Amino acid sequence: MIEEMGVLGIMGVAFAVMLVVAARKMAVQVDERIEKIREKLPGASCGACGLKGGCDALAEELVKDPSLLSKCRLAGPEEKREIGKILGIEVKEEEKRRLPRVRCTGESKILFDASGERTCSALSDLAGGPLACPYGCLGVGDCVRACPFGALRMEGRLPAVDERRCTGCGLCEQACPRGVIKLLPEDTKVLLLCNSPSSGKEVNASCASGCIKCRICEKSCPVQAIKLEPLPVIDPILCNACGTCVEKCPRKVLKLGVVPPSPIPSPPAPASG
Amino acid sequence: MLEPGPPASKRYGGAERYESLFIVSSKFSCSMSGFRGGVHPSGLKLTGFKRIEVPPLPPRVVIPLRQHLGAPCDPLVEKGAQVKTGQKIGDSNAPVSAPVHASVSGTVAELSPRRLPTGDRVLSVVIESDGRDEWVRMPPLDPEKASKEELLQRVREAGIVGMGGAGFPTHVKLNPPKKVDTLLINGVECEPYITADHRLMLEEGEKVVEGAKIMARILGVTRVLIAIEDNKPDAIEHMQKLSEGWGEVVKLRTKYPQGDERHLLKAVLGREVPAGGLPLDVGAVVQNVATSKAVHDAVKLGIPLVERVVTVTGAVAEPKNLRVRVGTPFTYLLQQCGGAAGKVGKVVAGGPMMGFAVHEEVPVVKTTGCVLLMEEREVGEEEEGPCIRCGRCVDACPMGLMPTHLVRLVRKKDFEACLQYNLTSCDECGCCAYVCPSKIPIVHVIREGKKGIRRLKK
Repeated sequence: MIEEMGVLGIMGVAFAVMLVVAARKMAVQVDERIEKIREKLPGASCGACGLKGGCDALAEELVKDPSLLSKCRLAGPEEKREIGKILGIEVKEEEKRRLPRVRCTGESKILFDASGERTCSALSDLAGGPLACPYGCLGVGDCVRACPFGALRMEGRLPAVDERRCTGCGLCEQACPRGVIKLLPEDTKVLLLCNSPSSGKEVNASCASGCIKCRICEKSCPVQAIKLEPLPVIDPILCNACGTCVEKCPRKVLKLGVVPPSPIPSPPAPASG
Repeated sequence: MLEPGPPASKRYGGAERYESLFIVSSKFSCSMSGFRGGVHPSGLKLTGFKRIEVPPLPPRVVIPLRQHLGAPCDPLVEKGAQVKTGQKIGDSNAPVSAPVHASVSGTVAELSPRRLPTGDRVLSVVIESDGRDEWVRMPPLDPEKASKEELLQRVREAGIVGMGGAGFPTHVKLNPPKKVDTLLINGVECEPYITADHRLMLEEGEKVVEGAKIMARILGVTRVLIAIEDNKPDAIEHMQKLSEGWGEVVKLRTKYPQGDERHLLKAVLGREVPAGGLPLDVGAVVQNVATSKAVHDAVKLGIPLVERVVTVTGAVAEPKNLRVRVGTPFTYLLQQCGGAAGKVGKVVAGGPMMGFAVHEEVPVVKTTGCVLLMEEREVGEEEEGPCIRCGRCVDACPMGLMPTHLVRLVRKKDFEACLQYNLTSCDECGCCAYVCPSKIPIVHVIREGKKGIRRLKK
């Protein structure tokens, strides 16, 4: 009896020593900050930062390169400041919230009924695309499928943005093969509803609306905030949102922006699939 | 299967009854379609017995400045210039490119981007024909006396490109950086409907053979094989007579896509082109019969590539083989064939397997072998169903890929995995989509995958 206890006791002590040595020698250095940062990140793993592993991957990369913090489009200014504290960097004042804007009226003529893979990206290459306008929205909804927050849906031939759900991650902008969706600051005063740099003649032939580069907006602007290059570009500082250009535009492709409602406080769980 | 190895009687313990299965004569061999996969669509060669016709010249032609793989040409003429048939109107300094020539005499009416049959928009020269068809020719060369460099230069100057469909500049292909031992002339024409090469071999076989001799001299090879499928017995017989004594006709069992040079090499020589490689990696160069004829014309007659045989077929009033000038609009071809019969669903440039549906006016280019009209009831779109993992596409794929898996990966946007599964080896022959019972547009999805991989590499 005592013998057995002695043998087991000695074995126990021996294994304990081995475990302690092994634990010391083979210990993996984990940066404690990673866990803390991970807690502060939004946790939606939307992929907008461009990393494959979602928020976990971003937390690991942030420790190595704190400048990546600006890549996260979801974290609010409060969270970013706290993450900055953990990393020991100064977080600059948060830029304005950006929202996707659809720069198309969806009125291009349809040349043919495309068959095959039903994604915008695939149809865009099919003999130049089924639309007469090579820059217009194809209306198949790659952007809708790309949105992890369910903030986009198709309404007729164009996607519509639910501004309360949008987090400004920019995945829709990346998904659009034609660059129709663009993220713009939320308080953009005048929005443009056309993406075609083609000449007026070509736009006229392909689309019922669409910017024909007539320069009326440029000439009519009382504060000279509009320049055509080749689409109208509106200087956000000079523009005073008087609405003259919107009124004068013969094709009605300019629209006054309204300040949208603020987002739903906590980011909703990402849509599955 | 040209070199059968040890006699079957030795391998199979003298069992005589196996002999007919394994032994093939080396002189006139009937290869057992030695490449994997493939499909057997109906031939539908409506125009196989119709002589090539030459319609009157079109009133205006549209000549794109890129009709080949490679860099586009810069225009050498301006709007309003007078040009003659055969005059060079576009050229480029890029190593992989081929010049283009005016195909009628007349006035340059316009220089503007126009749609190619493949869907790209390319700067094109529009020529208003004066109806006189005045030619400028290059001086003829004697293929026996001219040096290889002279011959190569002539092939380049004549703007000759692979006329089977890919349009790779022929002078580049005829100047391989590696040693080659075989020239394979491709008269397979495996796509349904198309008969342009078939008729060319029957009616101008001599020129095809002469062209092959010139190309063999440029390449410095002695072994020349002409591959023809057994659905063209008349062409096989004719080419055999013509090639007596210097070349060999290989009769192949009909199977699609045997006309693809990779599969053709596997079927004829048993050589497998490595993934991402070229035929010259296995010591062979493959040239289409129409290309061969164009080489003959360029060298012996001094005529650049300004015309080709096009099969106009399908739902037209009278299907025909037409010899037309490059740049002839499709509508003009259809007029020559009595217009459409029935309600047109699709106009396809090329064959039904690999062709491109066109939706606006496009011209015949150097690579256009067929214009196919499909009736509306033939092209009715079928609803795509879910993949049932039947694996028919895997069986059919001649490249040994797994289309079913590739489709899943592309739709998941996992392009790195696509690369690992060799998506880039796909040559878009369409066998997978042809056999798919769920009507999944596999080729279209795979093309998306290629786009994704290109983005990945950037």
